Amino acid sequence: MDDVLPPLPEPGPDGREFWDGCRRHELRLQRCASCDRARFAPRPACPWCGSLRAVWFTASGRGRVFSWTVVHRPTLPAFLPMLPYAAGLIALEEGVLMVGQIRGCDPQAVRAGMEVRVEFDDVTADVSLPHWRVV
Amino acid sequence: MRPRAAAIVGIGQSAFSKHLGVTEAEVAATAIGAALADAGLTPADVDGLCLYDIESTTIGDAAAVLGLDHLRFFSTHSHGGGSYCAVVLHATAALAAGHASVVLAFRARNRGRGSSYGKGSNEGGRPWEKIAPRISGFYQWQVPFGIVSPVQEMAIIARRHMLDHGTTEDHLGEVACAARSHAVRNPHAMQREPMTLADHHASRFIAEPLRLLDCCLESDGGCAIVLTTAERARDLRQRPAYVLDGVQCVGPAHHHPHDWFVFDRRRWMAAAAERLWGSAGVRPTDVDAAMLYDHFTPMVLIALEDWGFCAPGEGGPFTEHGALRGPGGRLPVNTHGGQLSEAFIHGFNNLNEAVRQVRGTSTCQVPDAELVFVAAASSDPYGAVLLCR
Amino acid sequence: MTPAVVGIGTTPFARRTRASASALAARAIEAAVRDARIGFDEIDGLVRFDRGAAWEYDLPGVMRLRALDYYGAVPDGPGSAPALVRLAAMAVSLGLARVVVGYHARTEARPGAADVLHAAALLARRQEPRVAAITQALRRAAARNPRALNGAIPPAAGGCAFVMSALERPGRPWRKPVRVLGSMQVAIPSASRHLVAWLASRREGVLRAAARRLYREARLRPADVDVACLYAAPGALVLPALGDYGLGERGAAGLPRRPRVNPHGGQLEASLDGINDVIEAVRQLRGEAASQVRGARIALVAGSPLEPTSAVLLGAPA
Repeated sequence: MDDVLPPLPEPGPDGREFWDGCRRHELRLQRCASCDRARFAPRPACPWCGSLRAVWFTASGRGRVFSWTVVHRPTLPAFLPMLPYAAGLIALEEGVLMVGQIRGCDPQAVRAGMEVRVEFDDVTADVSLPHWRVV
Repeated sequence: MRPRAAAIVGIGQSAFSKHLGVTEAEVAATAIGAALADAGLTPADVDGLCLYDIESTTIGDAAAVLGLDHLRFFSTHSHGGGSYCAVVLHATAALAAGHASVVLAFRARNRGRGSSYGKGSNEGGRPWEKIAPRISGFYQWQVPFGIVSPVQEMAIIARRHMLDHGTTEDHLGEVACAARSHAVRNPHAMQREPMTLADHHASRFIAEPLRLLDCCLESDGGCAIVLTTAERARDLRQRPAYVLDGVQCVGPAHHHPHDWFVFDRRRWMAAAAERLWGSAGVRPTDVDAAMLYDHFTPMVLIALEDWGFCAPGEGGPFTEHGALRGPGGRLPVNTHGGQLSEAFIHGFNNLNEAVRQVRGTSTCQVPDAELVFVAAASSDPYGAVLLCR
Repeated sequence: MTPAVVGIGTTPFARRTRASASALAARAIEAAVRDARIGFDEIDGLVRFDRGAAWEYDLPGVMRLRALDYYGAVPDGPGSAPALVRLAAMAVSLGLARVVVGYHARTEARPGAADVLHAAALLARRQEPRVAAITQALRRAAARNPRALNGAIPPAAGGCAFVMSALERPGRPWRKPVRVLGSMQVAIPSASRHLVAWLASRREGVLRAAARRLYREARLRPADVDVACLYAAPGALVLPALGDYGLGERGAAGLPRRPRVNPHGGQLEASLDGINDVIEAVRQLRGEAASQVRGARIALVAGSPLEPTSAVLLGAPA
C-alpha cells in the first residue's frame, strides 16, 4: 500500500498546527501578532517585521488559481496514476500563496483566476492533505 | 575588493555523459588534476578550497582522498546553482585576506538518471526520486500535492511569466536553440544535434509549459577551477582570467513557488545588479559574452531581466533576431551549450567557458572578448561574477 | 578594518526541545543583535555551519525581508566554530559586509557524538592518569556554571550567535568589542572516516604546525593566552590539545593554572559543536563570565582535533 501514497509530512514544531488543522479539515494559517500579516509556509518569525509572536487562525478555504502547471511526466509512483494533473499556486483570500493540486476540471482547462475551494483527503489515519476543487 | 586582484589560472573537467560509471571522488580527481595541470601547479601548491556542502567529497576527505594536505583555508556553500559565483568570490576573498595563495573550487556530480549509488539525495541520480516517505523541511509544503521536481517548480514560475509579460514558447525555444547551436561546435557537449524551433516545440511536455528541450541535461561530470593572486598569475602558463568584481546575495525568495512571488525579489535583484555594475564600473552593454544559469529556459529570460540586460518582462523579446547566438549575436549566451546542451554541473562548466572566452580558446569564440559576465541561478541565493582580461 | 565580535547571544541550553533549529537560531540571533545594540536592518551578512537545519531562508524574520550581501558556511562539525568566526572576520576585514551574523543551533546531539566522546574518554583514561584529574576539574567547572545542566549527558539543544563588525565605528563606539587577532584552519583528515591518515597527521604534527601559524599571525605566544576554550571530550582530548597549542606547564597534574582551560566546563556546558566555546571566550574577555578569569586579555578557542579544524585568538576590549 505504501507505494501509492505520496511522501507525507513529518510535521516539525513550526508546522504542526497546520497539519493538525488539516486532520480536522481546517485550513490553519499563521498571522503575525505584531504586524498582522498572514503568512505561509509556517515559520518561526515574521518575514516582514521579524516578530517571533504569531497566532493561528482558520482560513476561509477560498482562493483563486495564481499559476499552475500540467504535469505530464512522472516523478514519484504516487503521482503516476494521476497523470496528467494540474498543480500550482493558489492565492488564498487571506493574501497568502500555497502550492496545491487543482481538481474538478480537465487539467487543460485550468486558467489563472479560477475560483477554487479547499477540500481534504484523509490519506492515512494521521495525515489529511488539502487539495483545491474548482468551484 | 580590489578589481583584478585575483584570477582564474586553471580550468579542468572530466568527460560529461549520462553515466560515467566512476565515483564522484574519481570525477573530482579527474577535473582537479586537469585544472592543476592547466595551471602548471600541483596538489601541494593548493592551500585553499571552496566547496559545496552537497559534494560527496567533503573537506575532511580532501586531504586523504584528493591529496590536498596543505589546506589552510576552506569554506562551503549550499544551494548548488545559486552559489557557483559565490564560491569564486570566497576564493578571491581568501586570497585577498592572505589566508591562501592558491585556491581550488570544484563540482563533481553523478546526476545521470541511472547513476544513483545510494539512498541519500546527494548520492547520485535524481534527488527527487529519493524523497523519503515522511518529509520535513520545505518539501512538505509542495511534494505531497504533486510539485516534486525543479522542472515543476519552474513551470509554475514560467507560466506566470507568460501571463504577466506575454512570453511565448518561441522565446523559450530560442533559448534552447541558441544553446544547442553552440553545443554543435563543442566536442565535449553531450547534445550536439542541431535543433530548430520546430524540434523544440515537438519535444514532449514534462510539466507545461516546459518541454523536455526546456530542461537541463541529466549528467555525470565535474569541473574545477584554480585561482591565485594577480601577481602570481602573471608567472603561470595561461592567460589569466581576472575577477573584475562580483556580488553574492541571499534572501528569503527561494525558487520554492510559495516564496518566489511573495517577496519583492525584483527589488533585491535590481539592488544587486546596481551594486555590481556600479562597483565594477562597467555596464551590461560592455559585456562580450554571458554565461547564465540555464537549468530551465525561462530562467535565462528572467536572468537577462534581473541583471539589467533588458527591462523587466522583456527577456522574451530580447532573444529575438538571434541576440543570444554566438559568436556574432548581440549578447552570446552560454557559448559552450550551457546546462541545456553541454552538461549540468550546477553551473561550474559556465565558469570554465567564461575563462575560455577571456583566453580566446572557446569553440564559439566571441572576437576580442574582454569582459565576460557569469550569473548564478535566479532564485535564492544568487550572485554574479565579471571576468576580464 | 579590524574585525571584532560586538554582540553575542544564546538560547538556554536544554536536553530536549520542541523548537526547530530555525527557531533556536532566530532567538539566539535576536539576543546577539540586542546585545550589539544594532538594528536588524544593519545586518548584511550571515554565516553558518553547512548542511545545517537552519538555512538562511528559514530565517526571514532575521533578514527582515531583505537580501543580504554576504553569505557562506563552514563544514558542519565540531572543528568549525572558530572557522565561523574566521569567515565572518574575513568578510568584515575586507569590507565585503559591514555587520555579519554567525550562528549555530542544534536540537539534538550529533549522531555518534556521545560514542566518540566516551570512546575517546575510555582510551585516554587508560593511558594517562592525568586525564582523570582533568575530567574532574572540568566537571567542577561545569558545576559552577549556571548555564550547565550537570549530569551524565550534556544538553545538546540550543542556539548561539555572534555579531561581527569593524572595530572602527566613529562616533558610536561599540560596547566591549572583542578583537579577532588571528585565526587558522587546517584540513586534518576526519578520524572517523580516515583513521590511518588522521593518525599520520598526528605523527607529523600537522595541527601543531597550524597552531604555530596562528600565533605568528596574531603576533602572540602560547604564554600570552589567559583563557583557552578547547573542544575536548571530558578529559580525553584536552591533553593533546594543550600539546598542540603549546599550553600549560609540563608535569602538571589536572588542568594547568594558566591558561585557565574551559572555565565553563566546555562540552559539559553544552554539546553544540563548540559554538558555546566562542561565546564563553567573548564573555571572559569582556569580564562578564560566570567563572571569570581575572585579567583575561587573550583567549584561544580551538575546534575538535578529530577532523578539519580551526582555531582563533581573541583579544579583550582596549
